Amino acid sequence: MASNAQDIEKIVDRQYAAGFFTEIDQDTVPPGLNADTIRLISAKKNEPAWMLDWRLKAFARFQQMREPNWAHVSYPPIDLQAISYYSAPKSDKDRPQSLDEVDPKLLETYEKLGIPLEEQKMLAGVAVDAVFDSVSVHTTFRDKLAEADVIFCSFSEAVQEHPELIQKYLGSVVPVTDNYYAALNSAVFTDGSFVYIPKNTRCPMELSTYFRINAMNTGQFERTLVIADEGSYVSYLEGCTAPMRDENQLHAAVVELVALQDAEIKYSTVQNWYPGDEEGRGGIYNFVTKRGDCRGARSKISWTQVETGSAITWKYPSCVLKGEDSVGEFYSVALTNNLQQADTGTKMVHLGRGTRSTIVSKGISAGRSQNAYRGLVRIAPGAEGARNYTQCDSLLLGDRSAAHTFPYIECRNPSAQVEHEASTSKISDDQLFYLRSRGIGQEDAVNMIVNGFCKEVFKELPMEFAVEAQKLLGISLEGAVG
Amino acid sequence: MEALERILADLAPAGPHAGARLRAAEQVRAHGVPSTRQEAWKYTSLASLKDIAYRAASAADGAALDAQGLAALPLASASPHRAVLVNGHFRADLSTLDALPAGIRVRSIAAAAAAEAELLAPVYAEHTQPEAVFTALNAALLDDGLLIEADADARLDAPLHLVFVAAGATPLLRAPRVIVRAGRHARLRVIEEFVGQEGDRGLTNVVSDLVLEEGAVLDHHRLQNEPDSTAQIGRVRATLAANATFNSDSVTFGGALTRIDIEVALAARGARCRLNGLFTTAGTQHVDHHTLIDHQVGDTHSEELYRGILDGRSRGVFNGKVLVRRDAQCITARQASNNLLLSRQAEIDTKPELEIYADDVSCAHGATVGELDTQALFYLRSRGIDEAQARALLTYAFAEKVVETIPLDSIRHAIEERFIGAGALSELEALLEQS
Amino acid sequence: MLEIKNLHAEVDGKPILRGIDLVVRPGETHAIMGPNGSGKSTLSHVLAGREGYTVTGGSVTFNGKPLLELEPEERAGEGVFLAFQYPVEIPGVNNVYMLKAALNGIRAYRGEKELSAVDFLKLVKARVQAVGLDESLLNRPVNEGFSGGEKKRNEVFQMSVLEPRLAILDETDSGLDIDALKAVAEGVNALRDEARSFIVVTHYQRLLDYIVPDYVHVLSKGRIIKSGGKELALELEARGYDWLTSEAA
Repeated sequence: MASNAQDIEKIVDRQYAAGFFTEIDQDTVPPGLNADTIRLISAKKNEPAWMLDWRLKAFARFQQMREPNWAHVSYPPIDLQAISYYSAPKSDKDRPQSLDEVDPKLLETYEKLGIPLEEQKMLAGVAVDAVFDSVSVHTTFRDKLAEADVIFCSFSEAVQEHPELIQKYLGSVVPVTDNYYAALNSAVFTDGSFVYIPKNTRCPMELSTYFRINAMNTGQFERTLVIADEGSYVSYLEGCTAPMRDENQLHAAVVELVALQDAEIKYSTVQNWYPGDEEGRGGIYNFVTKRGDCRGARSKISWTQVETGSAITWKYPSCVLKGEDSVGEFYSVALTNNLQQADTGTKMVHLGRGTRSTIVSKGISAGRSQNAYRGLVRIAPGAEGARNYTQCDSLLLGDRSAAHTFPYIECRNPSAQVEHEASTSKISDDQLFYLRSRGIGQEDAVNMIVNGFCKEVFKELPMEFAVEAQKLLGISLEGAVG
Repeated sequence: MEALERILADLAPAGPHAGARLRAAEQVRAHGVPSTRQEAWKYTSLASLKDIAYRAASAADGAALDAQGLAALPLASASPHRAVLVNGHFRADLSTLDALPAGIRVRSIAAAAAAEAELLAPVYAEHTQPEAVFTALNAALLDDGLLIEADADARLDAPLHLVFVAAGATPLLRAPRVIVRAGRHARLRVIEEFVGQEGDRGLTNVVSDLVLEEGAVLDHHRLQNEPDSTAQIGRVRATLAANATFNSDSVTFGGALTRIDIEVALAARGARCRLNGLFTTAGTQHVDHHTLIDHQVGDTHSEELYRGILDGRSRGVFNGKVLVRRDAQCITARQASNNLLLSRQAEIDTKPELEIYADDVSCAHGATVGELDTQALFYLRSRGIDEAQARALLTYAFAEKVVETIPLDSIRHAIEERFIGAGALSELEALLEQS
Repeated sequence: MLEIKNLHAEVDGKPILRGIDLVVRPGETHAIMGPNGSGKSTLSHVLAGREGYTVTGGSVTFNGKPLLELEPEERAGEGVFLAFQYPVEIPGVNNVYMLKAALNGIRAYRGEKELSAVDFLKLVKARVQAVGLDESLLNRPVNEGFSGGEKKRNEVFQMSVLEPRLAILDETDSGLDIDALKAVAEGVNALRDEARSFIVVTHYQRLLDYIVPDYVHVLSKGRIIKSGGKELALELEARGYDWLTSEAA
């Protein structure tokens, strides 16, 4: 089995499959971060005064904050002044109403990525709000959603058309002062998605958004807000992949979820942004704040993520369990290869009685990568009978890779039960040998084992996403194992 | 801490290490008192010590303690080999070290320092880490302590019982140091028992440096039973050579605020350690254990089990880190932290960590917080045992699991007494053995 | 001795017992049989006072006392003993110490004096030999690491020390091979006398070859649908439960 390690590394080393770059003219604001940049963004988007005011206040707070350094990642200092904070496709003024009107090059981009924007997604009954750089260019199934009174639109549109909802909920889950990157996002976010599911409504289809990063030196500051009113249900899919780039790009999104009484939100992510090359050049810095508020009794928020991309991932989709008997879930696969660094996990904050949470995290480290799970389970004194179960496993492929586990458990209620289990081991030689002796090639054998390792998480994904995620894992591992 | 500044300002050391002690004092000043903003002190605030007018303990403090006074203290252990330190200063008159076998030497640091300065050199190593501020403080104030040497192949069957007595009429800052050098294939067992006189409001800042040479076996049992008015900040550092075995038990009953760091360097192949810990607290007690098991090379192995039982408004903290360095292959590491909250005001914060840079490892940890097993509770009650007694029995069993491997009845008996009554179980067991 | 009247009970809002009537007199052995899910174990647990079951109707009196109002340990004090289908492993709790605490708990409940450790051990030694339990298991944690047979034998051993007035054997035969089954049955039979009663809950007839009941009751969907003598068990063995349950429906 001596060659195993080398073989494994070979598979991991395969080139980034989604790597290419489409040339499209961009309406880009010159780089620089100051109040004027923010005014410009706001003006470009015709925002009402209250929105600009909110941004400027966030910016003022941001200027008093310092970049966090506690995560187990390292990178050169980011020059926020070198980033351009706004870019939109030229056709912005004249938004296409159908696919025919969309720039064919853009469609080509999607096709190369194998994202079946028009046909497969339609057939699958998925409405797509594709974000190309920072501005929404295409939305489908609006009518069907409108019938159910579901609002699914770009964030900018929501600011214009549903100001009362935005004003009520924006920043109510992730306050502008929450952290450095959340404050930055609050000041300069360009666009994103907005979802509102009315009372007692089951969203008639799964909602999906594809994000791209496709412009030179363009920071991406998405803002997503999902509100599930009493007794409603929504499943939201977010997937990303990016063209190969040579320079680091900052991505600092904020996602806020609000689940009212008896509502359920299922939020699934497949993240495959450009991770940088084998020497760690380029790649996305993905510093994301995602949090869900289970505000009402018996509400439920479930996060599922498959993270294979980005040079650096810093991300903790969390649940604040306020409502009695509310439920939080976090299912995660994080795969790092080459020089990728991931510091990801979740926070489950139990405030209400009978609240329950489940955490299943699977980390796979290959190459010379660093992969850390960081999680917090906090049981407040009032969380009578709260329960948490955490399972956190790491798989190591290659002796230069590293896997870390940093779970924080804070318990202040004697009737609560918290259980955390974690393990770290390398891919089993016995399992590999068994599969190979059955005639399965090394690469397939590794994929099979890794997929098996991740199964608990994949089964939480919507069907077509699960298939995509498995493919992605295979692609990310190709060359890693050989 | 104003008192600390004054103590450092008044520092006027003499002897071969005077310069090193002043440098250590400088490092204490540079680092300052840790705050909860530092990750290593996130859950433990030292604010309650801030306004206490500590004074550095001298040999004269506690000189009044005699054999009778010592006998009146609640000592859990006993051994023919006993070394007593009162307020950090060795008391030959209260110690019994005459029966030590050949190859085992125990001396006070005050007596040994002049002759064998090089033995103390590691004490004065740089304390550059801010987390090591109290180790630097101990070095700066180091007047006395114990130097324990076991020659190659030496064996000490009965434990060496070190008794640290806190006996201050006014709040004292005590800074004893224990240095143990276990030679090749030496075997010994050391008990560090901390007790004190009622009302003592001092701070015991103790550091134990343990060096295990090839194949040495050291059992290190720590029993913190100072009064609930005393504070303790302690550190145990063990370095293991090839095939050495280190077993550490840290049992904490007493103390107002106790912070103990246990760091084990598995520095050569075949080295292994077992770290067990138990803390049972009530009132407003605060106990914080930080452990670090550093697998520096391959083929090293560790096991760890910490359990906390928290009552009243007490708070327990456990931070256990397992570090596997690059190329340290063929590692096994197991770690568990289990905690029981007995009251609505108690709090536990636990953080088991794995930091792994090699791939051929098998590492696992688990942490639980919860109530007593309801099935077991019902089973006992259905047999006729009332609920309070059933709970006590299960709580005892929970605690006993940690100390079952300690070959020291004294510590088991202390736990028995605490939960189900002195001798309740052990007498029955003994009878059964005899019959 | 035991009188169950129209007993109704539910688990998580789901009715399991739906009107049980049963009278057990001193010295009698009653077998409760029934298919899986008929409520057999629920009945045992409700009688012993396990949490998680809500009694929604009916009554149970034991020697004139309302049994359902008592705590589990008070029921033990009254002389009710449940031999568990799955005896709980309790790490760290010494088997013989637990038993001493139990015996003295029961004695205290009855206003009797505590037994000294020496007298207690004499009793234990005698009984452990009678039941054929490996003596080394006495000083081990309760049921921890015991084989299936050892666990069941330990239950019978505890029963022999605690000398209950009514013993409920909850599927004591499950998971036992024939030798272990015989040994357990012998232990039980040695305890049978004109004052002590037994309720033997079982799915299969074979246990009743060794512990011969005076009465057999068939439980289905939370009700006793047929009662008879020991020959009823043989009929069930031959014909299964279906003819009865379909008859009842």
